[in-house]
Parts: sequence; C-alpha cells; structure tokens
Amino acid sequence: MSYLLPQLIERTAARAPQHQAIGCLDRALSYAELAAGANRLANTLQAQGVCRNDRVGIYMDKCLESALAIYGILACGAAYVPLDPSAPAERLAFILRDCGIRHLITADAKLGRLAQAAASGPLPLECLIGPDGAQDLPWRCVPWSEVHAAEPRAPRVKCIEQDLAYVIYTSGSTGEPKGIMHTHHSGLSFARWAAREYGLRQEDRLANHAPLHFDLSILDYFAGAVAGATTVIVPEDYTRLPASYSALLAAQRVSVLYTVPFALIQLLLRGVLEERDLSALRWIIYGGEPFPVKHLRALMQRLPHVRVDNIYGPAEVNGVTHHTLAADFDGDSVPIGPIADIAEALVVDDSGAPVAAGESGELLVRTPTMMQGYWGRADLNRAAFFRRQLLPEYTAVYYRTGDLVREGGNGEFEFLGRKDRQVKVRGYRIELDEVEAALVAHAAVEEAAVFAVPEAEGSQQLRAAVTLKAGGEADRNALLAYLKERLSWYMLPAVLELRDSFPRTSTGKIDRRRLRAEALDTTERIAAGR
Amino acid sequence: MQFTQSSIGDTLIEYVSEELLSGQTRVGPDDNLLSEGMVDSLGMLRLVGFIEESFGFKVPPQDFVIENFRSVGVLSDYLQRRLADAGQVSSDA
Repeated sequence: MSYLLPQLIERTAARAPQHQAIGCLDRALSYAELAAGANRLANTLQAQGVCRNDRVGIYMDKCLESALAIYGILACGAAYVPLDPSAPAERLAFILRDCGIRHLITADAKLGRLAQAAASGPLPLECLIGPDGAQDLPWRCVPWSEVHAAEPRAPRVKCIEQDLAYVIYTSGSTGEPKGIMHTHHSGLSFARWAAREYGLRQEDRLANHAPLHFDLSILDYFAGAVAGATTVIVPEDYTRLPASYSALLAAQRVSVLYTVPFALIQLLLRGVLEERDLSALRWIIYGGEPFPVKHLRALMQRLPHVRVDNIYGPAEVNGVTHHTLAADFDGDSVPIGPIADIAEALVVDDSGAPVAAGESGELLVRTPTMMQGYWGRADLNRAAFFRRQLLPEYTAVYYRTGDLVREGGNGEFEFLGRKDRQVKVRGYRIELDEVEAALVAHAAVEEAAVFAVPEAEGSQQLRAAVTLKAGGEADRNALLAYLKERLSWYMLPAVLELRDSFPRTSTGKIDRRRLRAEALDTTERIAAGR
Repeated sequence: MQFTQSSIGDTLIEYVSEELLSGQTRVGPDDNLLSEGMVDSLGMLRLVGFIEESFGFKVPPQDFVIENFRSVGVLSDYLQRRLADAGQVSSDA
C-alpha cells in the first residue's frame, strides 16, 4: 500500500516499466525512466543539501523536466512549490522569501526574471537545478547533464504521510499571496478518490492543461499515477490557440481532459472540433468556475460520446463534490453535485449553526483531502478552520470554504456565490482586495476599486477604477505596467479607468456595487449598439 | 482596401506593443508572442478582433494556430498571403 506520492510511480515502474508515464509533444518518459529520473534528481538535491520538509521551487514552463521535478523533489522528502512561470519578479521574490526556498528547479529562459527578483532584495536561494551556470549568477548551478549522471536508486529518506508534499500559492486578500500546504496524505487521498470516481485505468491519457501552480494539476499527475496511466502535458502556447490545442488532443489520443470552462468554450468556438478525431476522449471534467449552460450544451452536442462532469472544491480541500451532466439536462445552472463519499459537508449560517435542510449557508467541509493550513499564516489558519464538537470527547475540524450553497432534496449542492470578495477569472481565483492593494501601493494613487463583470467569452473580467492624489501623475498604461510587475497576468484588470471621484455609500465607502452596475450598463449599451 | 507589406507589419507591431503589452515593451518581429508574460489567451482573441477590424479579414478558426501567431513576423507573412489571395496587398515599391 502506497502512503507517499512518489511510491505511486515506483509501483507502476516495477509492474509496467515501459508504459508511458508522461508525454510532451514528441518527447515521452516511461514509468521506469520517470522513476529513475526522479531518483537521480532526488539524490542530486540531497547532495546539494536538501533535507526532509525543505521546500524546493519549480519555476519553468511545463515540460518533461517539470514532471521529473515534481517526483524528484518528493522522493527526497521535500515539498515542491510550483511558481507561476509567468509571475512578475516581485511576486516571484515574495514567494521565494515567504516559503524559504533555497533550491529551485528552473531553466535558462527564466534566469533574467530571477535576476530581477534578486535585485529587489536578498533571496534565500542557494542552488539552481537546470541552468548550466555559464552566466554569472550568485547561485550554484547544477545542469541536467549532472542530474542524469546521479544514482538512479531511491535515496534513503525518512518521510511519513503527514509530511508536507506541496505548497500552492494563491491570491490573498491582504495583498500578498498565501501558500496552501498539502501533505502526502491529503494529496494521495484526493488522487485515490479521483482515480476511483473517474474509473481511471492504465490505458487512459490525461491531459495536463493547468499550470502546476493551479490545483487542477494534482488530478492530472497524481490521479493518473494511481491508475498507472499517462499524463499528456499541454504546453502553455497550445492552451492559447484553440485549433492547435484541439490538434494536440487528437494527436495525443487524450482520453480524460480536466480544464476550466473558458478553455472549453475556446475549443468549442475556435477549435475546429468537427475536423479533429477526438474518438479517444471519454471524459471532460471542468472546474474552477460555473460553465455558462448555453456553451456547455453546445459542447455536449458537439461531442456526444464524451461524459461531462462538473467538479467543485477550493484548492484547500481539493475536489469534494462532483456532478455528472445528463445529456439533456435542463435549467440555467448546473449543480456542483453531492459531497464525495470520503468527505462530509456541513452548511452553516453566520453564527456557525447548521441551517435547516434546503436553506442556504456557507459550506464547511471535513475531508482527508484537506490542507494542513496556510504556510506561516496563523491568522488565516484561525479563520479557515471550524471546530465542531461531535462527541463530548471528540472535536472535528472543518474547512470554511467561504462559498454559499444550498443542498437540494437529492443531496446535490447548488453553488450560490461567495461570502467575500473572491472572484474567478478563467478558473483562477482572485481576491479583489489584493488587486486593489497593489494599485493603492502606487505613489500617485489615492483610492482604487476593482470589480468583476461578465465577459462575452463565458468567464469574467476585472475592471479597475482609480482616483489620483492631488499632484499625483500616472496614466492608464503606467498603472497597468506597475501592476504587471506585481501581479500575475490573470489578475490584471482588462479595463482601468481614471476617475475624478468615486460614488459613495451612505457610510462614505466607495460604492463598488454602483461602479459595477455602471460598467454593466455601458457594456449592455455597447452590445445593443446604442 | 489596399495594404503594403510593411504597413501590415508596422500596424501589428504598434497594436501588440501599445495595446496588448501596455506600451511597456516594443515587440520585435521575431519575438515569441506565446512565451510567458507576453500575450495571454484573451490577448490572442483581442489580436484576432483587431486584425478583423483593421484589415477587414476574418481569420478562419483553422488558421488560428501557433504556426501563424507565434510572432508578429510569421503573422504578417500569413496575413500578406491571405490578403494577397484577396487582391488586397500591393508591393512596398
């Protein structure tokens, strides 16, 4: 019985060594190659001073080496921290410092951005794996040629299932990203549940669309590995051009595709699906945000042989509900489904008391797939967990999702919205407060309001409105450029408006609701040609 | 409408640099638009919309692929070919 994530690949490497584990365009790794490569990297990391429970960063575009990095880091008893490969230098520097990352698996193409990050102040970095060190860098460099020459046997390391396995950074409402800590136990519990629930088998080929810092990738890699299946990497440039993406899905004979509604709508509208042989595709799983039903129905009609599922769960708990769509589903919204058999749901009101059946409230979840907490954030951890006495001698711990739901009579949950100011843009979760904090940090900005409005492509877009300080000078492009240095691309407002003043509520706060209503009104007028 | 080969390239460089990259970076004809931190998927859609508006040419979905959109250089070559098919390109001379 495996209790650690890297044991998943060791097991298949022993049983079916030549079976493909990872594919990426015309390159591939068999399970034997993946296991040996991961062990070589683990031994290299150990020789470079990585110890159990250390955090090792992965900062590169997705490729075979990034897959090796995941398992190599885990195999030496450390936790991997996937960094957004497009993150600006300041955000990168923040995470490297916050998580105390001394070792980083990276690539030559990222060295410029790393040097920028280092220019912002001291970094804990000591060693880079990947670059050949030809450039003048303040860190030790170990090229892949050296990694590939290391010992292919698993290093001796003490590691238990409660040890940290990965930390995923997500938008934080205080203006800084926060690290969600998962253990081998929570990751593996989810991977096993998903592999069973989706009937994954060795012949399956799972597309890895999501970047590694997006929790969808946990299913792509680890649920795939539970089944001894193949994970097919979709490189970043393919995800931006739908007809290239669909050609890759066909050529790679992808059977399970887990992605966000935005990407599926792009495939539907611009992916020339009618010209692609997608006969191998048997299951589409979407998550991250609701799927506009008009597009969802059209997608299901275009691909009638494919089963479609909606999976729900914040990265803090992995997926905890899922709903399989009937071919002829009715209604304007899709339920998120019943709670997983390995989890328990509790819906509570503002005082924390359970609501009556059929009433709306905040969803709390108790599950083995739950995070350990936020890295170094005792304040957030106090608010994130809800303790409830089940027996006089036993208190259970739930995660507070912040999502408002209602349970239907059939046990299916309906998603109603958020309790706070978190929004989803193309599947990415964004705390509006973080974007506002970044704007207000600009010397010329007096106040900022950021809100989300629906966009034609089926997701939402961010809009920002800003007032400047007396004598403050900045134009729209200067402010966007400033944000671009601090926030990931998906957090950048699509529209940024400089205003003389803000509408106010009776208590003097910025009336964001009115700003949003004004923006919606303008959008509608333009759409109606008025 | 008639376009010259160089006006197509210049128009695209101007739009990508000023609108998609917020005037921060002057994009070169061979720069990879798909590398991280350059043009995201929504930016790609805006670029297609811009082409439609500026050149009166609707990019068919099957042409909206990496080979045609990797850089401003390959994109203007592609547009020249398609606009020439429609008799809309004149030579720079």
